[in-house]
Amino acid sequence: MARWIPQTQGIESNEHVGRRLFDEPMLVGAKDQTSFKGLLSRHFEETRGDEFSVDRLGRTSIDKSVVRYIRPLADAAGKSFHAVKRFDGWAVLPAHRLAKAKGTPLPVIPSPLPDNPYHAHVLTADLLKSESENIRHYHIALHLRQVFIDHGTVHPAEIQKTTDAPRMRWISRFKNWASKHFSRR
Amino acid sequence: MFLATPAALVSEISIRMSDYTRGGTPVPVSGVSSAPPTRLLSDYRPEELIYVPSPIKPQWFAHIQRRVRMSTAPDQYVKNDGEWLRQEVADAASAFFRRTADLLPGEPFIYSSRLGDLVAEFRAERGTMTAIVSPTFLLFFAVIDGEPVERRVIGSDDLREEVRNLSLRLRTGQHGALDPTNAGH
Repeated sequence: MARWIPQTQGIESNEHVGRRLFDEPMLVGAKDQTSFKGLLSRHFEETRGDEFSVDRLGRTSIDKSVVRYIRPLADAAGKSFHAVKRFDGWAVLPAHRLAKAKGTPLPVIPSPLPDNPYHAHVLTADLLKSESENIRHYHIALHLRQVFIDHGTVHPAEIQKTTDAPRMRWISRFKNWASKHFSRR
Repeated sequence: MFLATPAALVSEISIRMSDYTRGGTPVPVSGVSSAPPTRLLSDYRPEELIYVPSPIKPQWFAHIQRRVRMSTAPDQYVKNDGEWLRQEVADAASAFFRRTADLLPGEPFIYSSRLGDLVAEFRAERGTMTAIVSPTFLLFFAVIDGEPVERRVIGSDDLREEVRNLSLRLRTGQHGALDPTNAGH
């Protein structure tokens, strides 16, 4: 079946949109903590203004062919960060859960990019306008996270087989052999 | 080893009569002199100034303080993608936990926000709470029995009361005694 091509005029209410989840850095002195089971608020902090980026993952559910198309882009985005981050998957929900969110509706607007026709954004400009800038930044992130927790699921990225694996195994075997034979001479 | 009481000290021993008796002069113990009693702290300082309550800190308090301390950036030029806390954020976080550890619902999971502030995630019987600790404000976002509750504290006057109320609701679902929504119940 052909890959779903989204329309650019608007978002259908049952379209599934996903927020990318990356392996976020932990504090250097707090690596002994037991792991956190929930979604970190960092995933939902948008530092580039009032457009909260999402991917359109399918017309009525998550479309595997769309996921296959976007996955390399998400991996590449992870590598483009100052410190490389592993792409872990998406937090996904139907678009109408945002558009009909309690309180201020959060419209989802198509915003295709040259390499990603599935890109869209949630417009947060009308949300919590009376707040001071920093508090608003966090409040929006926590509010969006809660909408995703209440109405969404996590679609994990499948672990991809790395083509480097056999080569790394061979190098590791060679190192072991070399250390056994040459270390005491 | 046996220690003999020096005679000079014995001579100053006297029984101080309770303050509410009339003509309460010290009654000399037989065989010791009637030297005037040394003034006690309670003679010239009100009781509330002597008794400074020091709440017992939970076991995790020391771990959290260590994690914050170990995550404080060694200098402002260190490369920081969320692995370090700025000194002023670390100070604010340390002060927050010192003031409220006895009231908080349990050991938090901590990490840095994208803006560099501290995020602390708590779990309790009736819900979850996220605290954003910044040098200029504190933001609490709790979800109690599925209902979001948001509080902010600017300055430190109301901090303990806010944390007490939120923690009580997170543990029991009930409002705190000073919560206006509890009035008339």
